[in-house]
Amino acid sequence: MQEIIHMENLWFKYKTNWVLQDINLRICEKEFIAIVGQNGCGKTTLVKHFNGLLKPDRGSVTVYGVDTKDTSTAELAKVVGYVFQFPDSQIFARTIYEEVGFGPKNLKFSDREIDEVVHSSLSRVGLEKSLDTTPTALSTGERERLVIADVLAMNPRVIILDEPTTGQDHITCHNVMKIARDLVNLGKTVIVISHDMELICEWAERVIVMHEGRIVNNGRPKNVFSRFEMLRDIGLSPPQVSVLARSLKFEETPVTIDEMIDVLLRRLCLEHSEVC
Amino acid sequence: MSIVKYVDRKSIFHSLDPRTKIVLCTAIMVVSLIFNHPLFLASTFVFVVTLSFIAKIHTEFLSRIRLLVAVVILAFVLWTLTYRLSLFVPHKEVKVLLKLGPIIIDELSFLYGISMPFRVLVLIGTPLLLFMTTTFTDMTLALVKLRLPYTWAFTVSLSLRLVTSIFNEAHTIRDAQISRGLELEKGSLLQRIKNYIPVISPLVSKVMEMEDQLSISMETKAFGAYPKRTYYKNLKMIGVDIALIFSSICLFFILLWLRLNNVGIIA
Amino acid sequence: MQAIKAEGLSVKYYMSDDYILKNVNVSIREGEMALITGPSGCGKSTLIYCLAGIIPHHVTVEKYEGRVLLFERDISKERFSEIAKICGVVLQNPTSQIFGMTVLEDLAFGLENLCLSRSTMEKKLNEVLELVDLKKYVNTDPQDLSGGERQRLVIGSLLAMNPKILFFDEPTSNLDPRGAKEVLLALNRLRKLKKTIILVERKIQDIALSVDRIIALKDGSVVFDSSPRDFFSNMKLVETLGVSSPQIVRLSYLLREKGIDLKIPLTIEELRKQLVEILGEG
Repeated sequence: MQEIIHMENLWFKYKTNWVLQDINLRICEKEFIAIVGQNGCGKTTLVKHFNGLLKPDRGSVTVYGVDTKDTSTAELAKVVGYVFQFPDSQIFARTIYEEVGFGPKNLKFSDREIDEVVHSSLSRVGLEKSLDTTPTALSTGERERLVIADVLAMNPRVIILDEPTTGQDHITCHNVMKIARDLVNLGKTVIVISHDMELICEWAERVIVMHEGRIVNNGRPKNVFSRFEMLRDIGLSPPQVSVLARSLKFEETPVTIDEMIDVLLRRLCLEHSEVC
Repeated sequence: MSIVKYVDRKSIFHSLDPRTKIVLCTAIMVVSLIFNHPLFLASTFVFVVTLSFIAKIHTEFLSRIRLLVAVVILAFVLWTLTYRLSLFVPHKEVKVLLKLGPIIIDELSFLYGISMPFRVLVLIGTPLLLFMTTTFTDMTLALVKLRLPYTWAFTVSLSLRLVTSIFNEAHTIRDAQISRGLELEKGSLLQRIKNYIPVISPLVSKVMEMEDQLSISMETKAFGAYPKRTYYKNLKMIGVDIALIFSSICLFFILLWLRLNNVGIIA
Repeated sequence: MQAIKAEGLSVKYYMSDDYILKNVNVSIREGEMALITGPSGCGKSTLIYCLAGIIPHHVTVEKYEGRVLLFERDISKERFSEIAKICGVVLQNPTSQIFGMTVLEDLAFGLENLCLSRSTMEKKLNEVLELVDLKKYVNTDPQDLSGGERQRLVIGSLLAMNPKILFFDEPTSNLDPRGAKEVLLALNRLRKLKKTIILVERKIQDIALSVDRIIALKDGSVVFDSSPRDFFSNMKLVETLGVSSPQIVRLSYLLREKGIDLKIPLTIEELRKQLVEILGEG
């Protein structure tokens, strides 16, 4: 798979603290990545380097072959879309059309193109019926989907979602992750920052674990979340099913409900043939 | 906001009663206003800097004062060039030093040109010294003891906090909109103002929300439940404080007497 | 005595077309810990604001029908400052409730407003620092604390005012997992102190296990009011509410569908015990 983001020996300082230390990271296209870690570990600082909001103090960040040090965020916005954590910190327009059309307008899309992308991105997030409503009339979950549409309308190749599920109900969480998965299937790269370990295990293909400015683990959810001691040391908890499997002394560590069911049924088959 | 931030050190100056510090700083500022000779004003400024050494905050103090370099140079240039045009200062016949077309710089203008920057430095540096060595709470307590209503001091501290929060929020919103391709610095002045609408609009809503939360929060802490309130921390004047206040006042009157006898002014 | 009672409570905001709360009746005993939950817009925050007296005292609404009784006294007839002495409210964003420049100052703020003597304040402050485990941060600037620590500070500052009832409006929603755990620990400690606790939460997986009661709202009406075990035994209801249930509960339901006989567990340990028997572990 083609490598699209490359961070090499990245160090970043905020005032006198090194908030990011020696980050080396490669991201390829069509990846569905989750970044986890305690608040303050540097997750948001890290992703702000992807679209040039922050520039490295040491080392380099290359996005689609372009060094971010020499590029403006407005320029990088053409390929990297960043959905910020709180929808209300972004939504400003009086109509949804104007709101979703803001990004494409800044990127100098033609009127016809703007019309197309507004409709298609609203449709992608399931808000096509809301075109005539005002943003303030939307529910919290709908507002979250709206800001995703805002960014999708710019047609980026990489989409960053900064805690899209925090403060949202179960249904919205599921919707957001489904939208993310659909985007990956369409060929985009999605990077999600989240605290919801169970959700991440279900949807993400790769998990990057950060602690105190460093990447401490980077791999498939199954591998990352079976390392209980590492997780405990940095204050994260594995999914309940993993804890359950460990307490039942299983060799493998399932990280989703489906995996756990598989494991249990196989065990039962071995022990009690009547269940199979 | 961080310019006036408190710097924690264990120094004699820090441990003085805040009222003492307020009296001392007020005296210094008034002195800088009644004298205008460059030597006097320069010594006053040196005195303030010495205090910052005693308070062990000289590094931070000087680095913050350094931000005033532009202001100082401006003051020097402005005063030197415009002194002759001033209506309040007596014009006497003095030696002309420089003539640039219609602008005349004589000895007096030059002297004033040197003193005014020092006055500016003292007027800004002294409150800065005060804020850097006194926590906001201590200031509030001192003002309350000096009979200022608590609500006033509390309002000021709350406003400072709110301003910090607003700045932080504005920064986040700005980042979010820049990430959507917004180029704030592009275009004519009118265009640039229009560019800020996507930043101002969510900010205003956020501010109103913050204010709302804040007033509910204050009520949850029983603010205003009773007409009076008690204070956990106690301010106590000790020997050093009284001695210092006494000497400051004495010194002030001595200086005032000197001034009335035309010492320390540019003749 | 019932600590808090809502009788026929119906509330409508100015800008809405419909009532946000419709004829709500809840009754909470002293010392109970109740969780109010439901989908977005169901009225849970409004309910808690009404129970805490913020509505009608601080927020005006177009229609306020029925009444809320705080230890048998009508809340709308009391002064809010009197209510604040009995009720503590922890809001979602801890920073908005912090007023001191150091932890100690902030904890003392409410006590100063209540005109307590210095010796009383000293005693309470020491107690509270211990309870919320912030002793080592006594002189720290709250801005330097983590989210969980800040939330604990807010809890401590309200606790120092000795309220009988504590309300929490989504206290863990802005916190990371560790912060959320710290708040849960603090809540359990509050329970041991026999405080009445009423909280609103959306992510209820962890908290649901510690509460006595779950009150679920949908479209402004109470649709469920009973124990957590009863709540999770009714999966259809849980799903329509859009509320997340603990992973092991969902797991158990799916295993049941596969023909494995299980009682719905509330803790990992409960499920483990059942599975050990079923798997015939030796």
